[in-house]
Amino acid sequence: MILLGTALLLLLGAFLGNQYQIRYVAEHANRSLPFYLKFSAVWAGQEGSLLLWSFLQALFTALAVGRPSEEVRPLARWATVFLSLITAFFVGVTLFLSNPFATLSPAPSDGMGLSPLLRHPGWFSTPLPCTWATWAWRSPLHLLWQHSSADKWTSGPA
Amino acid sequence: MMIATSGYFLVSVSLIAALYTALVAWLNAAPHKGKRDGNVVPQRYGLPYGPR
Repeated sequence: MILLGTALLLLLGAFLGNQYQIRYVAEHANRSLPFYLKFSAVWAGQEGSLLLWSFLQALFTALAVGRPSEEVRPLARWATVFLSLITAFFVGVTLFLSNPFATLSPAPSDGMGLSPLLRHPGWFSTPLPCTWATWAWRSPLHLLWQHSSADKWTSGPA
Repeated sequence: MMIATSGYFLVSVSLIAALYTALVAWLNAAPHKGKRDGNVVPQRYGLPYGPR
């Protein structure tokens, strides 16, 4: 989680520093892009989206199974196995199929700019990160919550 | 180039860390079978036979 968060910050740093030798930065930003829009450029394309998704998946996995309550402890180990494998899948896709840190040679002097859709405040701020955050939050926590409530159902009246 | 190399390195290590976490959690979660405390057959199964 910390490693992926650092990688995400590095990508943001590449956008803020106009590092156009990185292909993803060159494809989704340019020098005239306002400062605040460079944040949304981080998830403007598939590569950055997958990196953000991997980070959120790792973050909520750590939150869900890091300190399990007694109620869900029996499931927490298996939950760690499957949630770590899901995280590994996303990180693997990011690394091997859609790497946001791939470079260009020679480096262009300016980028291609951000998609006009993502320049609107409603589009750049709300839908994409919130959808991913909801998905990543729901998947591990719902698993553990479902387990504990299922126990209550099957244990009968107290 | 420094950012690209560092980012590539971090994502690679993240993949190894996620796989390692899954493996260790799997080994901890799986039921222990086989040799334990010198006995091939675990005593908790209550089997009347087997090497002591």
